[in-house]
Amino acid sequence: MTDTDSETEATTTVSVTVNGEEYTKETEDRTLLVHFLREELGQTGTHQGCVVGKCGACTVLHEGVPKKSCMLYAAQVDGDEITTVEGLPDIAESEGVDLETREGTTLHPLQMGFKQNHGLQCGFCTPGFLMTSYALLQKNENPSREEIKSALSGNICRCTGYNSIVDSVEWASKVLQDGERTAMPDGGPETGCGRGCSCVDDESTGGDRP
Amino acid sequence: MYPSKFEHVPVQSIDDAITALEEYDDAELIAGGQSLVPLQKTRFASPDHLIDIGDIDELQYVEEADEAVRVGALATHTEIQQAPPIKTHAYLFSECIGQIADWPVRNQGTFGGTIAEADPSGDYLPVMQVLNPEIELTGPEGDRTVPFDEFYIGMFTVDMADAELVTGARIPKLETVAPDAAAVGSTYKKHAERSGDYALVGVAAIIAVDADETVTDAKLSVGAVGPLTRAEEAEAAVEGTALDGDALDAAAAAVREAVLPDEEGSEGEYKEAMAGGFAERALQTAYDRATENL
Repeated sequence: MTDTDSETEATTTVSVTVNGEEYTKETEDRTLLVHFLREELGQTGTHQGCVVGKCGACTVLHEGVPKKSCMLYAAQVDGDEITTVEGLPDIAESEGVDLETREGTTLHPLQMGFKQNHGLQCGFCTPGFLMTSYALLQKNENPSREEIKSALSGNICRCTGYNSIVDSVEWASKVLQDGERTAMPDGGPETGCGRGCSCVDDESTGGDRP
Repeated sequence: MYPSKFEHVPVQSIDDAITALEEYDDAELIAGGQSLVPLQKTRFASPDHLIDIGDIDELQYVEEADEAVRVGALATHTEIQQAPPIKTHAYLFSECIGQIADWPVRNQGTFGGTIAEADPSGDYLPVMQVLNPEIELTGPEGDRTVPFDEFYIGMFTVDMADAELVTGARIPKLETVAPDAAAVGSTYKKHAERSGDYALVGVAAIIAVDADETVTDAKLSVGAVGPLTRAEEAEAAVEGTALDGDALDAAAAAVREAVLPDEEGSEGEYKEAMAGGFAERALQTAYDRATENL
């Protein structure tokens, strides 16, 4: 938009729709989308991890397609639609699949899935995992574990060892398909240990376990 | 980890892109940017102007056309991977793309950018070498097409003038690569230490067989082990055979001999051995697929 020389910084006025809300901001041409979202728009749900396109923490949806927001300049997405992790509860509400925590926070089934299945520990990578998982379930409502692993191979988690993340996505997939919105209410299972076994269903063993 | 300053120049047409390339001295085209953005961040590339061709809709297509599948420069990896004509007529290309980086990167990276960058560790090169598509370019002098084996000069080096851009390619259908064959099979085999890494070795193979399951034509290319290598002696070693153990051994030995790894000592020996091993696997899979197609 402006001429550049060694002294001045070229800027572009970028208009984007983020989670349904329109924003217009002038920013440096070299501003990465992840920094535009976090620093210019204050949408800090999208996390900056490695900034070299390896870790996937910054994954957002660009026109509904998962992309790494550290591998795009904000100027490249001018006029486009971006969905970030902040948008997931609203999406869930609009689709009538929202779940509520005991504290009354609205969550998307994927978010509840990660909460219920220990899909996170420190939580830093979670926004990226959620966005990639959301896009996967949009394309394939009943993915196999292998398909989940393949879709999530661009997201790195250093806490969980991944199995519980795959469990979380499977849980959300089931809830979304079966509409079992109370399958596992927040705060843990009402009976049993939640692993699908019959440990506490058998009352005689209850209370004696270490 | 930030690129040096540049001016973003969005263009909406091929003509505007060429005009911009002529106007600016120090300019690069950006399509998907999945290679260029990291190169800018590490300051291996610091163009003053980025000419953004990402919105040129007329370059976004994958479509069947007679004996070829036409792929536009701005078709993303994911679009090509999932396109029915590619899955049906150039399966190894779809198989190759599934092993590039990861899903979000494949959603943004484009055909044209990958071809023009010609990264020797990239997964495209061996597949392009065995398919040898016509690469379509345009520039101030007009349009031209050049077969991939002339387009690709060497690592990161292709036959493109300063103000030219790749507009697309005609990927030949496998059945036209060996028109007299009874059946054709293909594959791309890659070894990387972690999912999404660059290849340590990548092998593309096309095998054509006659009705008696004898190999009539073989094409084999090894990437990521030194310069891109067309393994012609290995191809000759399997042609006329039913791909028995001796033929595979001879082909693997010929591949180990043909590749020129950049690394010295044990690391180079390792890559030679892996090239031989993955060539065997690729030949076997392509042969099995060809005979299943009989």
